Amino acid sequence: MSNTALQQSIDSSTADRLAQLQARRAPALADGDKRTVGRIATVPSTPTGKGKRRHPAAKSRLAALAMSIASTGGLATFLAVGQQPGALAAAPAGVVTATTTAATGSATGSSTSVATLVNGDVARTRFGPVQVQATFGSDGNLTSVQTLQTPAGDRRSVSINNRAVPTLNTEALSAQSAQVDSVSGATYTSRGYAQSLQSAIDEARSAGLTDTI
Amino acid sequence: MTAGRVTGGLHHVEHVMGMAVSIDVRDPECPVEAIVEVVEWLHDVDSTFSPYLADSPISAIGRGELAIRDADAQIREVLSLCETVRELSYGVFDVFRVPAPNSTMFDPSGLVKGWSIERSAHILERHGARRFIINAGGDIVVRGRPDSTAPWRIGIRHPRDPEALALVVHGIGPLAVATSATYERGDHIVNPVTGRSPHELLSATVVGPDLTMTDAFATVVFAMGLGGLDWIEEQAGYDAYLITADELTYRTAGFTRYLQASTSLG
Repeated sequence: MSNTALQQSIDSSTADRLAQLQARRAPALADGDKRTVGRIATVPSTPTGKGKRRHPAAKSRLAALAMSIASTGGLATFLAVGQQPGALAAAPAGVVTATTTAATGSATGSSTSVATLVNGDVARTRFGPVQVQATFGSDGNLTSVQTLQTPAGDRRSVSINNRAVPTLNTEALSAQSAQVDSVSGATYTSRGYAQSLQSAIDEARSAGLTDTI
Repeated sequence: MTAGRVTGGLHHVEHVMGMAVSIDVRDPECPVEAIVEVVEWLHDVDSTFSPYLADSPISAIGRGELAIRDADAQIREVLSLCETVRELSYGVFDVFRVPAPNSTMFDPSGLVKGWSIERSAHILERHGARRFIINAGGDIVVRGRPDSTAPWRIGIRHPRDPEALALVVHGIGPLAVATSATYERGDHIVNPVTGRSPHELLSATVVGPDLTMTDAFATVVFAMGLGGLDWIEEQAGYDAYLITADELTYRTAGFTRYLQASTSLG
């Protein structure tokens, strides 16, 4: 098809953005030098309106985290924590520290602390040694992850490792307390809309108008 | 539920293209004709681009009965945009390799929706609207602010709980937010490069300046999986927020600008 003719029918702002996008096209997906450093941050935990958690098992959380990190960074044995319940304090491969303040990196063991820190194995990656530390609250839920050790002196490696450590998706936010103007989600059908948060928002908005269309 | 009781302006929900389109104009002076024109536009788009209607031009193209060069300008514009996204996405976004409801392998719906809603925003602006939000089945375009002080607050649905949010995006228009996921309609996204439906992500949300590209990019990122995070970093002005199947979240560095604390701007 004639691209010139088609471009004329596109509105100018879209055309400008397309030109910018094409000018900035990556030479290849595998070009690691173009990566941008990812930010590590923890989403603040907000109590849900229902006061329930659907996935409370810390061990599965940790296993899932380890799997995710492994699949992302190619770190096969990142957090070698056992699968059995109660394995957190007896993990053979990880260093477990029970404390109320900060990580010490040594195994002391305690059953009365409010937080438990689990240090992963030092993983030898092609970018250098990497070690992460997971923090569990007194209820056994995973509350944060931080990187203890990353390859130094190589910005590219650091950026990759920053990327490889995910932000934890903590508690879901209560829609009632979030006070949002709209909700973005997977495309719902007209039938799905009837049960959606968005329809409730629309009802509330309509209620604020004397004349609705 | 909403950010306080909102009065004034215009609000309308139209069911079209198999979804609900919520139009919320906060300008007190915006004429009703603006909404009417948007509604008529969306129904026009539906009749032209619907892959569900056997007699639509899109279905005729899919069956090989209508050449693209003979199609009207709007169809050619959409297909040009589709081709742009296909090139940008290394073939992941390919409207000629999508199983369509009309039994062909041609379905540009993944771009038509965002494009038609972005155009709807242009219609409202032409009628003088400066503060509005349109939500088309979960994909959103905003202009201005909801009032003189606050940014728009857009919740991202939690992929495993329809009544909860995973995050709130704060933004001032022009801005678009689109989320791609399979929790509403099942495995409707196939990565043609791999031939499989992606399962690595529960949802992919993209934020950008326009809904045409933002919506298509959300589909691309979802199909690419975690690798989509690197891809979207290359698209200037667009940022992403991903939730993986193990309920971890990832985001681009630039996404941070949308996470401002609710106390800073109300």
